Amino acid sequence: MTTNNLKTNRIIQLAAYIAFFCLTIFYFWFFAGYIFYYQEKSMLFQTSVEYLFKHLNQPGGFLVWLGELQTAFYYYPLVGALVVSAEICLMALLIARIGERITTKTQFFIPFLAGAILVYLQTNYQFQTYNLLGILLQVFVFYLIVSFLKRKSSWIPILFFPGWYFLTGSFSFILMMMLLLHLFFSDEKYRWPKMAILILPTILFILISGELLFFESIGELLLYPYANQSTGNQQYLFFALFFAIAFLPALFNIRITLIQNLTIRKISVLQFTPFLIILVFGAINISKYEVKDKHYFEVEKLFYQQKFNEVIAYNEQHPSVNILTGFLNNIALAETGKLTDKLFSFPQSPDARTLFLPWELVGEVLKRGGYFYYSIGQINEAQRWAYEYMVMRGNTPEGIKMLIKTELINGNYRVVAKYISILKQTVFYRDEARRFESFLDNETAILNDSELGQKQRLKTSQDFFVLAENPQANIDLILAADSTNRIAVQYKFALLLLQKDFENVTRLLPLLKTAGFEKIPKNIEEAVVAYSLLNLGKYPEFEGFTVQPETVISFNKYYQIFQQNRNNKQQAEKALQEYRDTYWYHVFFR
Amino acid sequence: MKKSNLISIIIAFTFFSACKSGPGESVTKVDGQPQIEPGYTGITIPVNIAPLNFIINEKGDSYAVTITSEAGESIEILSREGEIIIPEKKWKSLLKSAAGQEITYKVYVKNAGNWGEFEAFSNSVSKAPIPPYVIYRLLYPGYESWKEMSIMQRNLETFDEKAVIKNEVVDENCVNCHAVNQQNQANFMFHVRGSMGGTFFVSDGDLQKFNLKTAEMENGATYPRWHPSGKFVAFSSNKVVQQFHSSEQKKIEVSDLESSLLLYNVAGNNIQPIHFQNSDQFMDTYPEWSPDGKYLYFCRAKQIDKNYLYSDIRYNLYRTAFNAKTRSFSAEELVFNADTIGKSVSFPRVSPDGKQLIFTLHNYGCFPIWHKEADLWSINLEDFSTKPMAVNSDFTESYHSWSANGRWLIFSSKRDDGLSARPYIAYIDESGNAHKPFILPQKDPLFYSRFLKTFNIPEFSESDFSFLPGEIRKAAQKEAKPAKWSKQ
Repeated sequence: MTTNNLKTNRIIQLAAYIAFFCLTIFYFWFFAGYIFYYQEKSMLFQTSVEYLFKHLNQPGGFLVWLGELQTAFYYYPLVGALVVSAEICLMALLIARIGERITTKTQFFIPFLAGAILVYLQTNYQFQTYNLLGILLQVFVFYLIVSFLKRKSSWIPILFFPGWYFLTGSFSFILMMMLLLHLFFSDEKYRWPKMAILILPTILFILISGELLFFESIGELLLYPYANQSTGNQQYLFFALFFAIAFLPALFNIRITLIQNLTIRKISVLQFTPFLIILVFGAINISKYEVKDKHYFEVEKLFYQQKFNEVIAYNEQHPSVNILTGFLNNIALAETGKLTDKLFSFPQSPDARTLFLPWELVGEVLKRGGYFYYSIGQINEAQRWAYEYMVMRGNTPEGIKMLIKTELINGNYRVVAKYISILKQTVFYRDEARRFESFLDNETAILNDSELGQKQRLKTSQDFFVLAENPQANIDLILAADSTNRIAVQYKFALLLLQKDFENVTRLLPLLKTAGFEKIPKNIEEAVVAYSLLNLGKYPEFEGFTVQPETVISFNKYYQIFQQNRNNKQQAEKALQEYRDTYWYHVFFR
Repeated sequence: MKKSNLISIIIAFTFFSACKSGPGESVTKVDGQPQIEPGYTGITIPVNIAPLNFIINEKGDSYAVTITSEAGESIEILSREGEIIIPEKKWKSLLKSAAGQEITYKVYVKNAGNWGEFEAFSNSVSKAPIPPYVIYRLLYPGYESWKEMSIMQRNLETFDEKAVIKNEVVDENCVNCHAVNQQNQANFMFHVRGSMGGTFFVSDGDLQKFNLKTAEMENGATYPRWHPSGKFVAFSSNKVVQQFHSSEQKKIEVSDLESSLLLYNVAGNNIQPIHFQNSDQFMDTYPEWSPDGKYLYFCRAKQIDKNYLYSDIRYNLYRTAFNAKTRSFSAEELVFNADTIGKSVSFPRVSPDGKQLIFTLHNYGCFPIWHKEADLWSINLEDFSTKPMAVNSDFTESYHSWSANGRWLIFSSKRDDGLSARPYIAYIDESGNAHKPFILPQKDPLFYSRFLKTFNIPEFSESDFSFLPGEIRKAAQKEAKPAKWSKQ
């Protein structure tokens, strides 16, 4: 190869890596930044030595700890995009270098394909960081071994492999396989004893430690920390990559001469494969991109920040039929006093799951369902949901904040102090911990706080047993104890409106008065007007409220159009599009 | 030597010298005893207990403590942060020299270069040893779910803690209902729910799994108590419901909808109901044997109907005579009528000398661990007189267990934060009176201020019951031997 060609090779190679790195950052930052938001909110890394030791109780725990450490920095999603992109590119580069060591030729296809697959896997928001780190560490250590450890020092990784297994768990089997194949293809004098020593002590370590030390089953000891769920249920692709990397020394020994010799103007065609891979996977990732995930997590982020008006505005701009989005949006509406004004401006679940999430111990519902109870002042129940989530899934930033807030409201300061001590051991939540600390033993400060004070005042004073499997039933119990609870009143009416219960909406109008409403909210007024004008029952007592004339005019117009199209429901629905956010449209078309 | 290295050495020497210099002759007296945590002042401790490490909650730049026995043996500890970590070997020697006497703690705090000496406090060292182990279940004081759960064994003479069983070994199922036979220390049992479930019995180190729920039983066997002979285990079989309070501090109410007593014959692997006349009109639970095995104590409430009010359910204390030969029981006898004072009884535990019984007294129901008002009471079994124990606090006290020598009582108390139960140990003197209790000592004196899990059902043990994970796995994977049902 001429000097010019070598130079061209290097430039193309460099360009490919730069393009791969830049496009990966761009994708993870611009399209998929929510991945880092989700992952950061799914765990709570603590900086204490105790927390590290807790992870060292089984093989692979250290890798999980490392993954959590990295995830803590996803607090800034741009950092997440940068770090993950850099790691994936580093892995591609290391694979290329390993390939070069084995074949003495520049490698393009395998490194970029592996990198692109990792990018694809990482686009799933449930793909945990330790998976990426686990693979990267094996490749990195293998690279160090083949590059720097010769003769006697090459025994070091063989002898210490059980320790590496303890640190990185099942991911260490990638390195084991790479080493075995590397030895197999080498002409080393002691390759067979080395291979035996690599395998046998590790097997013995697993079996003996399984008997004597670890309570996990042998299957769990072999697999941990791998879990289908932590790959976002992408196990087939993940294992394909896992084994492809494990078998790298063998793959690099396969030579497809025809492709390798294919050149255009003396430049190998293989050099351009990275660009092809980037293009193909770029297209796949963009087509796979789930905008609804992005929207949901944006809503959740605004919700956690208590920016309720922004939650509503965002949902108005990006309407979503996602139940969880609707659930959080409804809380935002209730908190801002608009639930029964704008209920039908957003998609609602007919079974009321956008209003109340029924109790379940698994899945994502447990993480969020308690916010409804917090909103209406059922503090014990809100705490129970947060606590159960903590027991099942460990601490999360928002989970522990909910535990702190509910215990502060309940005045259990010594328990709060324990939760605060956990929050103080985090990287990015220390300021919040200090803020919470200022409320300890200070009921006045709690009452003066805009959020805690409001919830303290809303807190259910009369005791009853919570009906978590039937959350709507709790509303009646709360209102029986405190009919001035404006959030509970809104939820009561919202449920009746969803259930198309004209009669009870009308009958319960006095509740609005006791809860301090100055006018009848829009959706309730629509129900009342329809009920009155259609003579569906006893004429309602307006309790001093007046019905807006525009609502009456609007209903008459709606009814006229409806009557004109009554024989064709589809046509009527089309003709009444401008009434989509009204109770009348809900009654007839939902 | 380089100049910079010399300076570093001088700085390091000065620093360590400062750390190590304790109070000299010139100390100023400070009024009152120092604030320390845990509250280890004025307590009676066993001669073989692990060091009582503590933290001094007084402002200062340096701290020093001297602990002295009447025999003149002493330990000096210096600390910059106020954490007093007592050397284990010296502590053991000190306690040995002070058996039956007192040890005195002098606490010094340095402020602005001057040492202040607080009023000394002391501990009485009892010659009566405490059992070497305590077994408890560690779990989050949650409501419905669990993930990590384990039955742990702590060595009371050191800080060693080992898992008897962790639920990872049984598919993360619930592990519960551990029971040690205080009179026959080779007997131990625990229960596992779910796919690998069963009741595990340990006899002479052998671990075996049984299925005690026969087709005739509507509910499983729970709340086990070993007969002193080790030949029988009394259980209750309860149908439980749990409900969640919307606003009260106690959060959860756990109630029995029905319950009855059972007797398990270990050798015959058969289980029989314990019936009394009109048994179906009552709910019987929480069995407890007298140390001679001749009586079975239990708690009884009227059978509730469908429209029951949870706060009206009250349990009284009963007993029945047991004939071990015929495995038969006499008619029941009322021991303590708690209902008449508007209270309810649970967890009866008879002292090893059979002279007194300690129970938990609370306002209603049968599950006091969520009842803030729950306290420990004792009943003199000679004249049936009752009195509250001196160990109580404003928070829940329950799950108490006697040492085999009858001098020590371990119980759960939520006095720390109202949420997590902590094991407290109290000395019971020869007159049956309880002394000021102290919390189970930990190596890190701040341990309890961070630890979220609860210590559930602490029970003393003379034997080491920790198993190798492989042993438990093998036993758990085996098919449970089904118990046979036999009529009374």
